[in-house]
Amino acid sequence: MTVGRTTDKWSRIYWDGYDISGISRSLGPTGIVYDEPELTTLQDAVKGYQAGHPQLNCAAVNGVLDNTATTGLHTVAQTAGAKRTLLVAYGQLTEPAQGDVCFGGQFMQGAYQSNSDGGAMVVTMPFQGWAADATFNPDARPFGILLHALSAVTAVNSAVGVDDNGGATAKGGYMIYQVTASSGGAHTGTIKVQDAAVNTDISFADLTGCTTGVITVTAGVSGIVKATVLDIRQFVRWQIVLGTATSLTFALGLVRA
Amino acid sequence: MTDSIKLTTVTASIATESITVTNAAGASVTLAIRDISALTNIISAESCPLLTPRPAQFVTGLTITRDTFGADAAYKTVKYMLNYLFFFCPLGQGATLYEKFDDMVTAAAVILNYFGTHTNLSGATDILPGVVEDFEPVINADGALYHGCGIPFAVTQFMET
Repeated sequence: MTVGRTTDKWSRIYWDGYDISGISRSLGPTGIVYDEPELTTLQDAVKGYQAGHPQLNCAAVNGVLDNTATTGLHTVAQTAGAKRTLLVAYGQLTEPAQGDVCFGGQFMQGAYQSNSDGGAMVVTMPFQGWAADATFNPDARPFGILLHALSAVTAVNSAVGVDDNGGATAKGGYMIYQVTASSGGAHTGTIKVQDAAVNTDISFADLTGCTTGVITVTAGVSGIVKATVLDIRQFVRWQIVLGTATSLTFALGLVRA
Repeated sequence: MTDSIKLTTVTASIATESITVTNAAGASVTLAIRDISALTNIISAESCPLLTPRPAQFVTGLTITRDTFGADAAYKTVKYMLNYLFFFCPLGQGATLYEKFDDMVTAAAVILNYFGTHTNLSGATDILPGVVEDFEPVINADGALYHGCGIPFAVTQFMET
């Protein structure tokens, strides 16, 4: 992880277990927007507002009309009106790495529209906000950190983690996982988050509840999982347990509430 | 945060790239790429194929923009064009004047494709081939004509990087 500003060419976007970075042209805005009920009284000199319900959303993903079987954007996105699990990793002038900013959740894809842009056929997928049928309704914070950039893993993680917050938090959080490939047997495995108060391998323990459990980890598998405890210690890292899978290609983000 | 314009880092990066092209004799060779410290007025058939900085108007269109508040300490971006010349082979090489023309076009396309897919060079936040205006001929310091073309590079650099 480096610190500073970056450019969009280093962003990566994962959609329902597929890496669509190479066929996406732009995305966003991503983030949180609050309703703002006006509560101005007669004697107020200026209008006053309070924060209402926040909206978490990735406003749109724009890409090329690519009908590649299985992984093409047309293939994975043409069915609108569906819940999509998104994870966006913002690399810092290089490929995304552990500790980089990420954004993610489950959002309602409201449309799939193709049109021409300067002669090229492109598609737009606008989102309406957090999906009502998402795995859970999150707290009002959609940005987190990337714990694992998309790559293949064949063994458990014994490396140190990352300090994303400068201290522990006590409001819970959730992870977003995207599996794009695997190999071996029936492809079973577990993806989870671990935390620690001290950034040494031996100090890390599973963050309670923040695990997929044993799942089939083939391409196209994704989801969000909420920790069942509120306390998340200062340092966090990814972890896996290989079942019948011998290799697991995935990206993982963690959002602290 | 110390700002810098890493123009020489970029030219050094370009010079260290390894690109395989087919020369005028039909052999697969590594393209010679000169850095700005290696410029000579000698370009011969033996030098080719060669990608070399164009001494006249090597850097064009350089602009510095302030991207944030903060006066001298603000984030700033520098953009400029680096102009190179691609010498493939002397114009008269071959049985006819233009026998090697298609080979030059093929090699130029290989070079452009390479730099279109290697945009993470040291010293640049982003670099892409620019608008190629002139496919042929290019002229060496002795006034000899070569099959070749001008190849510009559009460079963007965050000055704090």
